[in-house]
Amino acid sequence: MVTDANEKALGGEEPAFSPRKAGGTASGSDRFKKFIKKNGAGFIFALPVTLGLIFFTAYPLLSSLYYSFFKEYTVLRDPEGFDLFYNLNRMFNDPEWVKAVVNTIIYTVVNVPLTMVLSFMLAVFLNSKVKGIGVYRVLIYLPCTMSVVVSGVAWRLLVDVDFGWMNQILNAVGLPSYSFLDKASSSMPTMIFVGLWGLGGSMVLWLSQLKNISPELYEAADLDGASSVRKFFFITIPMCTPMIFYNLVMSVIASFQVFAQAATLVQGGGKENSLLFYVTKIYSEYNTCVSQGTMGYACAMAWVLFVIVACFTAIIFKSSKWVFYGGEE
Amino acid sequence: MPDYSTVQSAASSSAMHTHKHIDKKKIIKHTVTHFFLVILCIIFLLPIFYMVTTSLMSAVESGQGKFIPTALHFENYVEVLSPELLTFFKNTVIVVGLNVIFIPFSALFTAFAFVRCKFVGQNILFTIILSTMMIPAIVCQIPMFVVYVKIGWLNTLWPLIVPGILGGGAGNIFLARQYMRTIPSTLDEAATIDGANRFQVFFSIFMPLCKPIAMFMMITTFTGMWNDVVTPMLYLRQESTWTLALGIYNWFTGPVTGSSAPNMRMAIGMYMLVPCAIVFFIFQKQLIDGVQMGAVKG
Repeated sequence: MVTDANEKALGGEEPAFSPRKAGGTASGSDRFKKFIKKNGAGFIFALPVTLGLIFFTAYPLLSSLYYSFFKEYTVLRDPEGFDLFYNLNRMFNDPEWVKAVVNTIIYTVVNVPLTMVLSFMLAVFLNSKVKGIGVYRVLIYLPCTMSVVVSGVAWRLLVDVDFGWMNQILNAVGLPSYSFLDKASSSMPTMIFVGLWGLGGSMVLWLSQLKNISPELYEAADLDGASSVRKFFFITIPMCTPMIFYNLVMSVIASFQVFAQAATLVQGGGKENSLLFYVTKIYSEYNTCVSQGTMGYACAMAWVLFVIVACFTAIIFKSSKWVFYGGEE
Repeated sequence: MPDYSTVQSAASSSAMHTHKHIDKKKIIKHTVTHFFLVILCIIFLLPIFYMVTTSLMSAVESGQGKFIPTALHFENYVEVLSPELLTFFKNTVIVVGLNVIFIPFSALFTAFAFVRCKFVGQNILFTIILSTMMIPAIVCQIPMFVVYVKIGWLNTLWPLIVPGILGGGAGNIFLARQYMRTIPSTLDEAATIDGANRFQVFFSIFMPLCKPIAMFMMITTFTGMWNDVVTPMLYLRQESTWTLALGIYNWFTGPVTGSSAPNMRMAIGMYMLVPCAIVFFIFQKQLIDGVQMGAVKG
C-alpha cells in the first residue's frame, strides 16, 4: 500500500518514543522537551477525541456497569442494595425481557438477510446500462431521506386497516384486506415490510462496490465464453464479499438495537407486545426509573445487549475467511 | 456517466454493421428494463406520494384515505405553523447548524492525528475509537442522563451538540482518515521543510484538500441530525426544547394520537421531509462519491 509508505516517510524517521536515544547525555528536562516535540502536535490533534472518549464513552460505559449491580437506583438518590446477580436474575424472570429478546432475534434473523439480498438484487438491477438510470436510482433512494418519525406517522396511516391505502390497493387487485399492525401475528411482518422502503441506503453501498469491479474481469470471462449467470456467481459475488461483510456487521449491530422504527409505528410494544424489542424494553424501564427505581435494571439490560452484540461481531469477524480483499495485502 | 455512454455507442454501432436483429433485441430488453424500473419507482415513492396528496386534502377526506384530493388545500401548510412548531424549527436549526459545522471539522482534526502525526499510543487510540462503533448507544445514554441531570443540561440542547464537537464520531473519523491517506505526502513535505508546523499543514494544506469528504460528512450530519429522534427523546422533556422530529414523535405517536387529522400530520411531515430531500437532490453526487470513498475501503 502506498499510504503506509507515506506514513513512514512523514511520520518522522525515528519512532515517536525512543527513551534509549533520548537518554544518556541529555538531562531529564531535555528528554521531556524532546518527547513533547515529537508527540506534542499529535497529542493536541488527538485531544478532543480523547476527551470525548473519556466523558461520553468510557465514563458512562463503566458507570453503567456499576449501576447495573444495584437493586434500586432512581437518579435522584444514590444507588442502593448492591447485589451482583440481582438484575440478571430479574431479567431472566421477566417475561417481557424474554419476549423482547425473542422478538429482536426474530427480527434480526429475518430482516438482515432479507434486506441484504433484496438491496443487492436492486443494486444489480440498477447497475444495468440503460438511459436515465441515474434518475431511477435517485428516486428509489429518496425514501431514505425520510425521517423515521415521518415515515412512521405516514405508515401508521397507510396500513390503517379500514382507511389505509395498502388495504385499498390490496382490495383493488382482488386480494383480501390484511390486518397489518392490528393483530399480533401480522405486526412483525408489517414492520419488516415497511422497512423495505429503506433499501436504497444499502443499495448505494452495493452500487459503489459493483462499480469498483474491474471490467477486465468480465471481458476475460467473456473471452472464455462464460454465461452471465456464471459471471454473476464467480465474479460479481466474490468481488463483493468485502461489502457483504461490512453490510453484515453493520446491519446486525443496527438490528439488535432496533427501536425508533417500532416506536414510531406502534405504541409501546404494539399488539400483545409483538413489536417489543430489546431497546424498547430498556427505554420503558428507563422512563419509569425515577418512580420505580429501575435505573440499575435498565443499565444491566443495556450491558447484556452490549455483550451480545460484541459476541456476534466477534463471531462474524472470526468467520470472515470468505472475504476477498482484492490484490492488496 | 461518460464511460458507459461511449461503451453503449460503440456497441450499437458495431451491432449495426453485423446484425440488425440484435438492435431490436436490445430495444425490447431496454423497454422491459424501463418498465420494471418505473414500477419500482412507483412502489418506492408511494409513501411520499401519500404524504403530498394527503397534506393537500381537507381533514375529512384525509381521514377517509382518499388517493386524490377533490380540492387542493394549500392553506394546511400555513395552518400547521403554530408557535410551538416554529420553536421546534428554531431548536432543530440550532442543533443541526452547529453540528454540521463542528462534526466534520472535528473529525478532520482528529483524523489528522492519525495520518500525519506520530505520538505514543496512536495505534491503541485508533483501535479504541473504531471499537466504540460496536457499543450500543443505549449503554452510554442512560448514565449520561444522570450526568446531564447533575450538571443541569437536561432540557437544554447541549447534550445534542457537545458530544459531536469532541471527535465527530468514530465513523466520520475513520472516513476522514481513509480520505487523508490518499493525499500524497509530497504536498505537505515541502511545507514542513519550509518550517511549517503541523497546524499550518493541517489548516492551510489539508483542510482545503479535504473539501469533498467534508462535504460528504456535512450532508450526512445534516440528514442524520435533522431526522434524529432518539437522542432528543432522552434528554428533552420540556416542549419548548423539543426538536422538530421529537415534536412530531410526541404529538403524533404518543398515547393521544388522533388529536389532529392526517392532512395536518402530513403537512408537518412535509416540513420535515422537504429540507432533507432538497439537500439530497442538490448533493446526490457528493453523497454517492462519499459512500464510495469510505465504505468500499472499509
